[in-house]
Amino acid sequence: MNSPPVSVLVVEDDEDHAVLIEKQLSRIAVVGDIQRVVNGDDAISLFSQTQYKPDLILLDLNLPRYSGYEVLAALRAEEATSRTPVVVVTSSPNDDHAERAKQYNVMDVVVKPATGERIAEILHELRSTRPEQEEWS
Amino acid sequence: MENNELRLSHKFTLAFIAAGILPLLAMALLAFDFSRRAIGDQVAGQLVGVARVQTNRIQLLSRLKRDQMRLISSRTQLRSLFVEWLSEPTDQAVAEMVQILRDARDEGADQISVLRTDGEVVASTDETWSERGSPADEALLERAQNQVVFGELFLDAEQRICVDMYGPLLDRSKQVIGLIWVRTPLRELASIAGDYTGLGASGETLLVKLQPEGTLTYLTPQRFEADSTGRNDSLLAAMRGDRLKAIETIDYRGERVLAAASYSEDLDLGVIVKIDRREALSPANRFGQMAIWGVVFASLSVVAVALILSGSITRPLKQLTEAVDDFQDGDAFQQLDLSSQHEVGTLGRALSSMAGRLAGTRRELEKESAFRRLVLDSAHDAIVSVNGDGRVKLWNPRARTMFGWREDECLGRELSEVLKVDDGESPWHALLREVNAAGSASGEPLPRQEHRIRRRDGSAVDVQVAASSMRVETQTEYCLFIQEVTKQKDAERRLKRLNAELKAKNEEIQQLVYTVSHDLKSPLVTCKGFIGVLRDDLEREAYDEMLDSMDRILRAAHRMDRLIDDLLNISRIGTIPISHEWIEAGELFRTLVDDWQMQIENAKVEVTIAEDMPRLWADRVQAMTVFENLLANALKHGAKGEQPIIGVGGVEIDGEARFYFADNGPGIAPEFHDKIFRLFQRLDSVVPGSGVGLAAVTRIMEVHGGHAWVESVLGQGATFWVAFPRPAGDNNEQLEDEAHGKSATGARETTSPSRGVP
Repeated sequence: MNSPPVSVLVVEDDEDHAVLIEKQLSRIAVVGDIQRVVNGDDAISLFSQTQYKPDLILLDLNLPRYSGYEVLAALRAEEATSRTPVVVVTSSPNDDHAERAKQYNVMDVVVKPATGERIAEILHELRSTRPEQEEWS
Repeated sequence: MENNELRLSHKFTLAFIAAGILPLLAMALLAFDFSRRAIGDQVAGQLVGVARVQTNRIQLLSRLKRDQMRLISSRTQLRSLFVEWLSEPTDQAVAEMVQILRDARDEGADQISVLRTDGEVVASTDETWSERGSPADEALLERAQNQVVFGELFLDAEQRICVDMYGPLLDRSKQVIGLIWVRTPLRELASIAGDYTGLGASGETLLVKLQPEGTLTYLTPQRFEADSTGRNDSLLAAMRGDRLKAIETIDYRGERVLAAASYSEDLDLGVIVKIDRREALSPANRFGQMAIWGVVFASLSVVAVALILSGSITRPLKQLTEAVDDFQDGDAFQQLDLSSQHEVGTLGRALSSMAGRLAGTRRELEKESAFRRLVLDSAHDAIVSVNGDGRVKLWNPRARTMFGWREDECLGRELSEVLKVDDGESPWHALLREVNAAGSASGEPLPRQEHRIRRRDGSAVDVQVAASSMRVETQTEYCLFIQEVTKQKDAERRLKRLNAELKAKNEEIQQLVYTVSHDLKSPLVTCKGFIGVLRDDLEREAYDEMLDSMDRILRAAHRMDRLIDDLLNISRIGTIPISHEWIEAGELFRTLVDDWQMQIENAKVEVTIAEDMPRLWADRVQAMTVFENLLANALKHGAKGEQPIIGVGGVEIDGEARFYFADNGPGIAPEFHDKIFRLFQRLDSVVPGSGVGLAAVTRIMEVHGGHAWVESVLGQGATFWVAFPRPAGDNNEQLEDEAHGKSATGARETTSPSRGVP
């Protein structure tokens, strides 16, 4: 693959969970830059104050201050991130999450702890279906 | 009543008089008038009859006289003597003619003469006339050549009616050669005038001469007055009329008379037959007098009968009236004699029977009324009736106790004035309209409404109002049945509140379960994840990294252990019995600061404790837990500035002992003020913590009947408050004041119930 590496933003307040995801991502070849923020406020200010534009956002639902959904709504309201692929990560699997997340046009809902294979699959899917793929090749 | 009765009998009498006397009077008058007419006619007929007879007699007399004249003139001897005398006037011839005339005088004449046609007396039975000549004028003499004519009647020296008659003396060839003059008294006229047969005491026959100027000269000696002349145009007219009839006029004496008049041309003589009107009509007058007496008598008897009859009717009527007046006595009719068969008796019996029925009906009504009163007085509902305009007509005792208005204060007033609803427009007109629309079909449930009404004293009462309507003649009336449902409504409201609380609690629990499961799961996720990483590392033989993973797994296990402990502790807060005691806050805070000296120093925070704090009524251990948690929270999140300060103090407000922990840290945005008190809710994931501390504070404060909250503006620090209520029944601020030497601020009687008092 000659594609450029994929940049990923991890929104996760739990230190351990963040480290875990980062470890798994770093073992996937296509992943390039990995950024991490611990809450929604930081994620939104990151987008609004910098030119940073990740290829994928891994968003934890259970966040301090604002919940994952509130962050999602804010992201989708921003021009820069309105179409950024988002994968919701949660430790409590239930149908509600999947349904609610769909409203915000998320790629997938993944239950923690996600295996490395699962994340790889998602990245692969992202690369194969993403319309902006052309830009990268 | 007396007046009416009198009026009735008067009317009765008047009616009798009108019905009995007036026709009688009218009949009497008619009869009187009729009799007068009849008698008048009869008298007139009689007068006309007499007049006709007398006239006929006069006619006959004149004819007789004419015949006498003709007899004389037809004496041939006289004629031939006169012819002879004409050719040769000799005394011999005159003497012979006188002799013949004297013979003829036997017929009754005073004097008979033979005249020449120029009126010269040739021979006369009275020699004096031979010298005097005839008194006749030329016109008379001229007329006498053709027929026998009468001169004027006159009275002679002996007051006899006499007349001069002239007639022609014809020769053989019927040529007038001379005239015959006879002066003769008309004795028959005197007898005609003196004949009063059929003329009563005041009647007479008058013979009159018509003078050229229209006056009448009475020729015959009158029955009552002599030598009268007079003028009477109506009699004159009657004489000249074609037909003989009676008229009423005034005679020469000035008396009103009935008279008939005729005229005899031969003798130029009028005949008047008259009788005094008074005498003529005296039978009618007598009849009239009789009639008047008859009418008077009849009137008296009619009045008497009317009085008797009206009395006989009004007396029983009066009795009946008195009985009806005394009807309230019930048996007033029993004392009356109702056996009489006439109409009043029948009426009395009918009234008596009606009274009986009325008495029965009245007893029924009284029973109904008593029952109605019983129902209204003892009804558990307030019963209010209103007329079509919504004005109160009835207000039962229960309505008085329910709303505080007496019946006399409500009657006639608008319903909306006495039943004021708590808020909004008065609903009564709408309710009455609804009732009207629903009709009044029995068996149908009445339209019902629930309202909160202000009593007269301003307190509120919850009521359920059912309404019905009824038509009374053309008016619609409404009845409201009002049931007090304050207790039910209170219970309902309490139930609603409890339900809402329960629902909130349920949601909270659900949220809690979710949060708890998530937070419990979080370390598990870490464990599972890093075990997977470990496995990979093992496979890759990357041993350096394995140590980190194992550390993380171990820390996660510890965290979970602590979480479970915290959860257990927090769940125990409500279950372990709490023992209230009065705690001196200052003492408690000093102990707290001593225990946490190390952490305070590590955080480089200055903690100040205010003086003069209220006591609090609480479980000592749990109160300590509350304050520990607040201090820990302040140290963790509030002590972040250059010179972190934590101020601790307390005040007595609204009957609560309130304590605060104020920091000068970053502060908390308003939207998180509630969230931070919930279990496992943290605003900051960097600062270590389980998110249990403030939840425990909330829980303990709940158990103590108090509450916890935060006041903060972002960037200006945060003040966490807890409020402990006073125990129930403790209202002696003085004790508080004495204990602390300060006046209680805003102290009020506490309304919070005490909880968990062992």
